[in-house]
Order: sequence, then structure tokens, then C-alpha cells
Amino acid sequence: MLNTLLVILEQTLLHIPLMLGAYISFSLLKVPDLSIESAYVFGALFGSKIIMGMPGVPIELTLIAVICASLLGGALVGLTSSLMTQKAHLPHLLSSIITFGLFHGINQLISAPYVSLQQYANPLTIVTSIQTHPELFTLLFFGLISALVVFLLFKTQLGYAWAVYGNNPHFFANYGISTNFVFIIGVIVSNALAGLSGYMFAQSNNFVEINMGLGKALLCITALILGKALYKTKKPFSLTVPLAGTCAYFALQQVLLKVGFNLKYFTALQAAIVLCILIYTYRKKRSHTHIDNLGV
Amino acid sequence: MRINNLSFKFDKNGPDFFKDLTVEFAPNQVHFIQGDNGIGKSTLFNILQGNIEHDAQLDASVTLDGTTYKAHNNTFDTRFTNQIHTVQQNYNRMIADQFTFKENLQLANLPSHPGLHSLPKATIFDVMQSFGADIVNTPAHSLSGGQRQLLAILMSAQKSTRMLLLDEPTATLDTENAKMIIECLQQLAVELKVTMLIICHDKELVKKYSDHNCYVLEKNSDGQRLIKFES
Repeated sequence: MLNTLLVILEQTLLHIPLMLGAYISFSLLKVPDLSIESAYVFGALFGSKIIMGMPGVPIELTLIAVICASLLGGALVGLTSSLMTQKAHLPHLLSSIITFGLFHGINQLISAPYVSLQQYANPLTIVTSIQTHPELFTLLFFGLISALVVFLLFKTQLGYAWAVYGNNPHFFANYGISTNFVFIIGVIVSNALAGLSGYMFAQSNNFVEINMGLGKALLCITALILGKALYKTKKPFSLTVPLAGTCAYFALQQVLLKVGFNLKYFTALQAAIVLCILIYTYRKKRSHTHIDNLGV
Repeated sequence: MRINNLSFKFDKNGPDFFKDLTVEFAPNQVHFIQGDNGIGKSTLFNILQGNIEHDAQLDASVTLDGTTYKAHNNTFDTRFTNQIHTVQQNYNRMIADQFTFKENLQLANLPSHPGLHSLPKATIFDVMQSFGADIVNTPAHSLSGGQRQLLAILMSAQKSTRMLLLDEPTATLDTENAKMIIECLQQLAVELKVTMLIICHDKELVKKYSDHNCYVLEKNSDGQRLIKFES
């Protein structure tokens, strides 16, 4: 039982930055930001390149460098897709798909399809932790720091501006506020967080694989829907939604595993859950004028 | 505010739409502009804001607070256009529904590039408080049509504006709400020292509130557009 709880906690912590990023793009900006999948992989690759390029460097320095690199990797993906949307005036879904294609090529150019990190020192074990979960304290630290940073961001002009964009994208043009700036910074922050999560996941599993981002957008949508179901709020933004959603998602996964469900069908199951909830939500809200995109 | 000899063509090689149009509006008052559909009321607003197509041709100058600005490349100097704000006919596009009346006013005051500071203050808080705390803390989606229109007006009015252009602000409102909006505009014009131009088709409303500030845009027998003061 304790081990199951630790697995849920570890998986939740690994995905908190990704989920916070997804919350910014899916729930606040309300854009179908599939580029978080590319950012997840590119952040992991950028981080792993640092690990591989810094043998013999003190682990504390490696950890700082690797965190910066993975955030930067994710941010680069966000910058690419958001520039396409705002400057080339493409729908963001199309920008994300093109970004995916571009970065899939770049990833293949700079890396093998599968890179093992087994032989390199693991910066996430910098703090001595539980033997079966050696990275837990470091992950806890990064999870809390990510949540704190996003919590503080939500109290700033930028945080409010992201929520306003999702509520009414035409708002800013009336008051001399740059819509481009709000959108681009939002997607960059969202994707940077996804990049950090990608690195943490890769390091935790000791490998980077260029297809490891597939399905992450669906994971985020499912977790955010669960979060919204668990925590109903009328506030424009709430940190509880992504945090509770992530926790519930991995708890559900472990429960299904315990009852003998084959996890290779889990993606199909979550797709079915999302579909049912969205159909229910859209039918329920048909009479209303405003429907949240993606139901999150 | 004075518009001097405004001449405008939608197409450089096309006919004149406005020719030598001159009109003066007394400062810090509400002025009504009437006229048939297609006569050019909204076009006049677009010209003042610099929202005209590239292939159009504009030749005019405007005088605001003693400074004259001449049109250049189909638009007026940004020192002039920055002092003008517009309240759209579709005011829903100007409001963030999830946020309260007060938050909307604060959000409209965000800088051009929002940063890591907290939300700016609503600069016309005194006016806002006269509507009562209930409305101030009510989410915008729960406000009535008149209250939403009022919110859009206040949001535009607080942007360091000298002129406010309102394109049919009462078109979608019932009589009571329309009266409330116009009375509020008259109060704001004096308190905030803003000159307001209102396009309005409601003759009864204009008659009741125009107070010698009604203008009619029309064509003369030569087809030339004139703006006439209507007593």
C-alpha cells in the first residue's frame, strides 16, 4: 500500500510541471496546444545533452544546468508554435502540428531515437532519499517550486492576462495591450514547464526516447478534466485543478493496475473517458452562449 | 476639438467621399451625430482613429487642445490617436466575462506588455463606487446589458482619453437603460474632462439629451457630404 502511494506521489511530482504548463495553455489561454508534446521531448533531449556533455562536473552544477536547458528546450518549442500562430496567423492547432513535424526532424538530427542515461550520474539523486524512490525529495522540491512559481505568476498582470485571453481573445486590442505578447509568453511558459517535466521523466526512467511525448496532451486533458470534476471553482484560475487532477489521474491508474487492468489499454480508456465527459458537458451547456474549449 | 477641411476617398482614383468637411465640437461635452445609414458616420470615426485602408486617400488636419495634427500617410499623429478611444457597438468584445466589474476596469488599465507586477488600480474608482458595491464585485457575465455597456464605456474612458467615440451605444438597450447610459456619459464627460461623440439613431433620446449638441451628417444637392449643426 505504501509503495503504491509512493508510486502515485512520484508520478504526480514528475508530471506537475507538465500539468501546470497544460493548465496555462489548455485552461487559461484555451488553445489546443499540442506543442507541449514536442516541448516534453525537446526539453528531455536538451537536458540529456547537458548530462552527457558535462561528465566530471559537480552534480549541483549539472543539476542547475540541466534544469535551465530543459526549460529552454521547452521554451524554444513554445516560441516556435506561438510565433506561427501570432505572426503567420495560423490556427494554433495547425501551428502545433507543424511544430511537431519540425521538432521531430530536429530531434532525429541531434539525437538517436533512444538514448540511455544509465551510465551518467543522476542529478535528481542529489538529496538522499527513500531507497526504493531515490529521486523523491528532489522531485518534491521541483514540484513545489514549479507550483509556487505558477501560483505567484497567477497573481501578476501576466497571469490575469492569460485568463483574459482565454475568456475573450479580442479584449486586449480595445485597450492598447499586445495580444501577441500575452499569447507568446503564455505558450512559452507552458512549453518550458513541459520541457522540465520531460527531462525529469527521462532522468527518472534513465532514457530519452524521441516518441516519449506521444499521448501527453491527452494525459493532460484527462487530468485537467478530473481536476475540474474534483474541485469546482468559479475563480478564473486555480492551482488546485491541475494538482488535484494529476494526483487523481495517477491514483486512478494505480487502482486500475491493482484490479488487473492491462495498462496498454489505458490510453484508449482515458480517450473514452474524455469523450464521454465532453459529450456530457457540451450537451449540458448547449443552451449557454459560452463553452470552454476542450472542456478544461 | 476641430476637424479642418477633411477630404477623403476610399480609393485614390475614386470619387470624394468627404470633401472639405469642417466641424468643431465643444470640449468636455456629449455630442450626438445623426444621419442616414451609409452616410459616413462610422467612416468619420474610423478616420479619426486611423483605421482606414491603404488604398484610401486622406487629407485633413485636426486641432485638439490648441495643437493641430495633420494627416500623414492616411492617419493622424499617434499623439492625437492615443488620446482617442472607441466604444464598439459590439461591447461584448470589450469585456472579460469571468471577471468582476472592478477587475475588468483594472484589466483595461494593463500596460501594453503585461509584466510581473500586480494588477493596476481602476483609475475611475469614485465613479465606479457610485454604482454600489454589489455591481462592482459582480462577475461581468451576470451584469445586465445596460451595465455591461456602462462597463465598456468606463473601461475606455479611463485610458487617459480626451475623446471618446461611441458607435450606437444604446442600439441594443431598452429605453430605461439607454437613458441611464446617456446620463452617465454626460456625467463622465464633465468629471473626466472627455469630449464624447455619439452616433445615435434614436431621435427621441437625442432630442431629450442633446442640449444643443446635435449634428447631422447629410448630402447636399451636389452630393457633397456636410455636417450640419441642428438646433
